[in-house]
Amino acid sequence: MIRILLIAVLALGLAVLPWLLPAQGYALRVVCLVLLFAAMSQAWNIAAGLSGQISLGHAGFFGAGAYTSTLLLIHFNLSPWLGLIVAGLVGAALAALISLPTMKLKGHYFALATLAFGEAMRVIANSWTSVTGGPVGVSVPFAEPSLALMQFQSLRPYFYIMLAALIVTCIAFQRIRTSALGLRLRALKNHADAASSLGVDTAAAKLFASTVSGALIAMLGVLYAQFQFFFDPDTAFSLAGISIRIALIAIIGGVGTVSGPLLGALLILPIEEATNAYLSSHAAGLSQIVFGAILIAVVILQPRGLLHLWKSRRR
Amino acid sequence: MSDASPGTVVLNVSGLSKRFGGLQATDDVSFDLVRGSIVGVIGPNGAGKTTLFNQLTGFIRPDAGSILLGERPIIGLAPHVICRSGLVKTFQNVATFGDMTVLENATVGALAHHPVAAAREKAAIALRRVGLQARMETLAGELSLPEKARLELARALATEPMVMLLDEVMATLTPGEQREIVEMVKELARGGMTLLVIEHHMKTVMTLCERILVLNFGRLIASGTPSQVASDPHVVAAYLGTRAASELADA
Amino acid sequence: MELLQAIINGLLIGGVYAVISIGLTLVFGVMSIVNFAQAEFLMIGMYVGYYCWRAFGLDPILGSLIAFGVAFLIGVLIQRFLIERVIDAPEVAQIFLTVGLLIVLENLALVLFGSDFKSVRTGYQTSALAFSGLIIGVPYLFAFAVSGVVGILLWAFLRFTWMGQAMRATAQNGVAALSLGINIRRVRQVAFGLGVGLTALGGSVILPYYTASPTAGAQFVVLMFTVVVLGGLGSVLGAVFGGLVVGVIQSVSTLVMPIQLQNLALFVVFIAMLAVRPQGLLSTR
Repeated sequence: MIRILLIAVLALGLAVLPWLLPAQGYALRVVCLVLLFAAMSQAWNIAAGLSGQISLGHAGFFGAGAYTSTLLLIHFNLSPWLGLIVAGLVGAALAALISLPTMKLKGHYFALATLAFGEAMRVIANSWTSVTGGPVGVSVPFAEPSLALMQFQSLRPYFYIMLAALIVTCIAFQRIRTSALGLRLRALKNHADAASSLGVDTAAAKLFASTVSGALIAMLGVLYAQFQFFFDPDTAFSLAGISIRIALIAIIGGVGTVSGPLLGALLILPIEEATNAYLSSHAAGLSQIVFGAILIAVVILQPRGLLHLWKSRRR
Repeated sequence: MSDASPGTVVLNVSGLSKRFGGLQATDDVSFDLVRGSIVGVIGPNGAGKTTLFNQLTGFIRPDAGSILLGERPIIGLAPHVICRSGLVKTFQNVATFGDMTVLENATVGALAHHPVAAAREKAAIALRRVGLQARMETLAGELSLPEKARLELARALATEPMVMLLDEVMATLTPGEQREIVEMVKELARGGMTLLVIEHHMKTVMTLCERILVLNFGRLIASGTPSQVASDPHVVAAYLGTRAASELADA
Repeated sequence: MELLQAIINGLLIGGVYAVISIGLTLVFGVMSIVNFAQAEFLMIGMYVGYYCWRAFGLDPILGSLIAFGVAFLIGVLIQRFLIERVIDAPEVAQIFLTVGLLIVLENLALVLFGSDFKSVRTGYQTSALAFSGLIIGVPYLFAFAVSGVVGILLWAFLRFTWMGQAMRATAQNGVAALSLGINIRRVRQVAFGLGVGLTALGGSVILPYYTASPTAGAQFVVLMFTVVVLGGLGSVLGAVFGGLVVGVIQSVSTLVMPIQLQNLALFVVFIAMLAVRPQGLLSTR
């Protein structure tokens, strides 16, 4: 009874939150980003958290999604809602493509391969000026607030869109985790050979999880584009800003669990924003140094701790 | 899956060979397994027992020879396909899925032939057979060693195999626990399961198995009943000077 | 003829790629850690070389020695206080440590030096030798020559010095090395310092034809890893081989592909290697 009441209060609070904050204010912007990154972490969690393969290249799918839908909007006036679908397909295709050659890799090698993928996408986007506009980046054309074109002046509609995205990714994660696929992924994460001997097609499981994850992340890239109105290759395909960040959020919050990315995002993003706000008036890059230093500190002080966080907590 | 009548050959291995660089790990090994039999595989360390098992389960591809599971040639098939065809192997203790519950572990096995809801039920049945029904919600990582051995068995049973390969299941068990497992294995065989067992503990092998294959340097040097094998001069020579030799003599 | 020119160019830059990447493979060979921050030391080397040139008029080729020294010291400290702590930790921890290092170093450079591009001017920057129809750019030649010398010195070091042999022993079997009385902690420090030092040296050496910026290192990440994977992670000779191959592939692909696809070509090679033969082309495993 208490549980239901708490959930109701939470839901009500969430529904009302955007109206308690200034429509175009900084606070609401941060909240939206927290929701978005939590969703991205959850999508990463689906592949990496369940199967144990640390991908450092998810920015590749993210940026691909952002560029796909934005370019379709600019050149063909395609609504970003439809762009979402195309982006999802692109993300899925890329993920499948990358998954195949990296199937047998483990640990460092796998992280390496995925990192290379993300970086390759970034470099390609930077050099393919005729299509992507190159390092200068791309702007989402804004005419007027429009639901059909997923663009608004006020931040409030974005809040609900991001919230919906978060809910969708959480549901996807839970459904997969409790399904046969989820059991198989967790098995192969523990001991791949034993899983194989028990009839688990580890390659197929990893491929499927990877594809779902890639598709979701690409779609979240579309939301990002529509929210920020501008992005460039170094931001959309950023190793530190996207790939590492979403991995870290999931790991710190508790990987392999549905609440992990939520906790992680609530923890890390506001701290980052605070240090950013405080420090970037001094120099660009200072907040990133703090981010990196915190990362190093966490690893050094509790290398086992990351493992402790890394092994899924019982749900 | 297990509807072959008694007396039929469920596993036929013929001319199996595998070389690693300069080492002939498996040298022209041939044998048959008849339904419902318990066959032991023994040999000094390095004799090639594990390599043999790995070829049967599809983790290593033999250079030559054939393996027929029922009527089906299984060389070249992926391990998970071989499992679904009816051949499963247990691992030694550290292969249980530590972050998952006992029930989840067994369910993974049952997923080989059932969708998830039915798989859970089948898994529970397998767990009951090995006596782990009270521990179903415990994390596998928290089990004691004998419990882990039983989980290995249950997990493998859940895949509804024709042939089970037991790889040193007894290794860390007390004599009392070993007797329990021996009883369990005998009961499985009575029910129609075919088992191929690697064991180092001579006494167990002699009481459990009705037939024994002896490997040395990758070759099958003897095959027969426990007493035949114990008195075979080649076998004694292979083990000469080891503790196992005296165990053989006492068996 | 164009092809021959491309191959020559490729070998010339390939030699440098080899020196840059050798450090990565050395570190992995000795410690089984992939240093994701390795490329940042290239960037450090570039800045050291640049400022030596700015302040003392020192030619970047000579400045590379100083770059080596600076990076070596930094490397030893990093190894001693950070890397050593995660030697036995799970891979997750190791990966995120060097990744964190990558972030810190790149942004430190941004804060200290600003984001604008810095380039040197040397007398020989634009000169080239003509040789029976082939054109050989002098800065490339110098860079290659230096790489060659460094490569030979490294080979001699690993072969003939006590520390070098200790390193090879540790790479083969850390426990055995311990029992031989080798202080493997010290070996790891030297190996890491040496590894990043070599990469920094390479960074300074390419200054005549490559501009310095905080993100310069990032441009080389995929390249370095491709080199090392081609030759086999852990094999120094492999890094040499891989460097030359990558140089040639890059150079030849300019003949047939637009620049966007060149990067793709490299990446495809990288992924293909990891998928098909992760132990490298030269390995006998």
